[in-house]
Amino acid sequence: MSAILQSRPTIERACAPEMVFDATTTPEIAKMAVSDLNLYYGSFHALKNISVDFPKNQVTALIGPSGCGKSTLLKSLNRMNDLVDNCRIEGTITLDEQNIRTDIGVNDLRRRVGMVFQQPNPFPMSIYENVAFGPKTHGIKNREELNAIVEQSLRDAAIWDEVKDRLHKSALGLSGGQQQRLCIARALAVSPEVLLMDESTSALDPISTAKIEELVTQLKDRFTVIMVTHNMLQAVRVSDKTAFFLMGEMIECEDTQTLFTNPRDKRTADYVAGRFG
Amino acid sequence: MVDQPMHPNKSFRRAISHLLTRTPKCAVALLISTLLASFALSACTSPDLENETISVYSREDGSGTRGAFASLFGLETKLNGKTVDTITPSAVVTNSTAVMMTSVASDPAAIGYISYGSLNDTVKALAIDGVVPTTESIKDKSYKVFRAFSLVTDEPIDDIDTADETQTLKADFMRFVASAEGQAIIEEAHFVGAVDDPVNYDRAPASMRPSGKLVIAGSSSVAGVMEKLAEAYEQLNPDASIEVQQSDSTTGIAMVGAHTCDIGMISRDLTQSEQDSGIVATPLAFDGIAVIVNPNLPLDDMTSQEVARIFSGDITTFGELPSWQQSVNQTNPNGA
Amino acid sequence: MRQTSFKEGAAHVCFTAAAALSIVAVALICVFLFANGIPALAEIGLPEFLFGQTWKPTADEFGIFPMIIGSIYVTVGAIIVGVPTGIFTAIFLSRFASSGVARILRPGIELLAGIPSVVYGFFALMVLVPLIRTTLPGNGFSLLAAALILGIMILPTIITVSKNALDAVPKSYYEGALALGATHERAVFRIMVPAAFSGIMAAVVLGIGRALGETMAVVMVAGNQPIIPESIFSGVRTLTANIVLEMGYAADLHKEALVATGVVLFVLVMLISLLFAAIKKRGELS
Repeated sequence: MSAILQSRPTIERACAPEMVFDATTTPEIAKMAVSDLNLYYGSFHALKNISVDFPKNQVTALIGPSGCGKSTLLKSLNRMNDLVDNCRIEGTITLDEQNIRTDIGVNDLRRRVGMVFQQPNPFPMSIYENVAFGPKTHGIKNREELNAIVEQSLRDAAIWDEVKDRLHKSALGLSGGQQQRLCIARALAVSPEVLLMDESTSALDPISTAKIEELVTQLKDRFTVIMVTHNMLQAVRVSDKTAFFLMGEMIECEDTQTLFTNPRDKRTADYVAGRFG
Repeated sequence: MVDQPMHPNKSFRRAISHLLTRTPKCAVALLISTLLASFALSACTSPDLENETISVYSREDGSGTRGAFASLFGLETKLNGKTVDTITPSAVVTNSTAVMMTSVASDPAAIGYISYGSLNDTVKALAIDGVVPTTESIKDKSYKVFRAFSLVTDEPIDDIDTADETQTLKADFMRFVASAEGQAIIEEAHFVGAVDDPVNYDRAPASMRPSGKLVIAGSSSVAGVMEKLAEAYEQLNPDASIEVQQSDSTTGIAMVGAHTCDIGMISRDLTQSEQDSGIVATPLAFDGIAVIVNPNLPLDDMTSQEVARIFSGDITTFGELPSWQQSVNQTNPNGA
Repeated sequence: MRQTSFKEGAAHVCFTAAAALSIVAVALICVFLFANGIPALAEIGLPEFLFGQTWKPTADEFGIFPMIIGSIYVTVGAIIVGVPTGIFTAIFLSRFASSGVARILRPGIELLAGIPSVVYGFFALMVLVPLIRTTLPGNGFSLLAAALILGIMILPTIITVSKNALDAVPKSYYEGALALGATHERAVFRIMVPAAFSGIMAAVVLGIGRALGETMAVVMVAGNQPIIPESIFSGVRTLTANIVLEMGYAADLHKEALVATGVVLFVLVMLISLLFAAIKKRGELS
């Protein structure tokens, strides 16, 4: 792990909501910010007093053992938790400093904050229709415009060459890795600002996983990526900032290098060393 | 932008409230009032029966009642060497007396026909050629629209060999049917008995009562009253068992000829060839056929030619009937 | 060990016998139909039977073409009435209804499925026929009445099978659509319903089969005139009605002709079943 860390450029980052200005650090803007978030499923207190910033144009990884609440937090960011019947949220989440529950319409929010799920879930339609579904939903009807968007999204997801000759065949005929990249293309087609990835490579083989990790590194120039991962090495390979969760609380949030080599909290150190989880 | 609710039922409610608030209220009100008005109008309008198309109701092809009706009103012709009726093909076909009566009772412009024995208050029976159908008018044959029910055997009753057990039973049953008790049962079933001045049934003493099994088969029109006769006979002669099978007249005759039943019951006359083969018919009862209309029809009688012309499709509205024009003139001598 | 293998053997025999019984029943029906119907078809002549327009058995005229048309018209009418209503109700029940509404609707639909067809026919005779008679042309005994009551009768079949198809669509499709910013309605109608398409088609085909075979309710309100209907307000006779109206009185060739009508019906229903199997297979493949 240290070898991987040493190969990456060192940039100081701050985790706390306040911005720190000094000569050595560049000011970072929080694309999305969570403050004092408490989430309850019925009477179960799933997230406890979470406050974290997600910096713009960076990859933030959320790690932690099963059931610690990282996926729950991710789903709160695009309000997919609204689908759960007895879910109650207190606290605020903002996108570009606008409250996502009161200032932004939910459909618009979900266009701007896209999601890629753990299991690839392409619609049972053609590859073209899968990618075009998003833009069509948001009002784009012109055939040429749609063609351009579909091609660009598939290129951005590094799958264009593999599917360009079979755009109108069913998406379900693709392999697992290809389907997941198709889902990424589908999410990119609506020009989101943030991309949420919920353990998106855990169901894939190593080669597909590597392709997607490479994709994420390229995408972060244009998007803000927040990813939940079980695989610590993935977090190390790909993310700029990592947050460690345990039993609904956020224990520590640092830039990745620091968290893995010099964590502040003992529990983080234990998890990262593989003593539990 | 305003927060939009996401639960399925909430979005449905939102759609409904959207519909109710955005659509002009006056358009909705107009629609509702138009619907109400049309229903009210249709209910209030009394049917103009004079020009209304007569709804003709008939029984199914092959029904004994239909065959009798067609032959009695001259609605028959020959096709491919066979006799067929000329009842209009656009007549509604009902397959039972009950459905026929329900239909005629609820349709103001209806006309149909049923066995007189099934008549009740829900429909009105027309007088034909001036004669109202009653038990008396059928018995004295002044009401001419009737058919004869008969029992058929393969030999005359008097020739029955009384030494044979089943033959004794058969002869005794035939005697019962022709007796006062038997005829009373027939009259109870609203048929008109064929026997004038019937004698009382002479039941044999206990040790000599007939026993065994009797099979009676044939017309379903006769089967109903036959079952009642069989039941009454069995009560008087417990050792006898009588089975009634219903199919149709032709089958009954065939079975008698083939000895697969003892007595046949028919609702038509024997053909020449059937008589020639030795089959004998004994009259049982007369079944009047009533021409029925809706009780609210302002017409009480018709001539038999008018009935025939309606059922053949020649006349299609009540106004064309001479009887109608006559009755209208009677009620409104000064013209309506 | 010997005991268990004996029990297993016995169970095996039971199941085989039960399966055999069902197959034997179907086989017997087929044998009866074809043994009695084919000679009639040979005697009458297949084209005369299928395309003859006159049905007068007493004069040896056995053309069932008006009845074939009648069955088709009535079934098409039932589809027009029942299929859109059924599918939309299924979508409502599966994706839009709150649990309170669903709790009332579901037993209601099961009740609809349990009502005997004679009762439907009686209802249609007492309510639909007079309603049509007073507001629309004709005397009420019509193609329209038959189509309406049949449409209602096939609703439970279409609703339950469609709803099962919709419920079986993976939730991940719905979530995926929502995550792209689609509204609930759009996610349901553009993604879920097309995904359940083959199941919904199977429901429609089952409804068609039911409508084709329905007898009692149709006989009571369709008018039963053995002629091709001129409009939806004129009477019509279906193949099933033809059999039930005259079976009691028929003899010899007439009776065999009615069995031959049964053969035609059987063939039609077989075609529908094959269609159903083909649709199901296509659904499984995709």
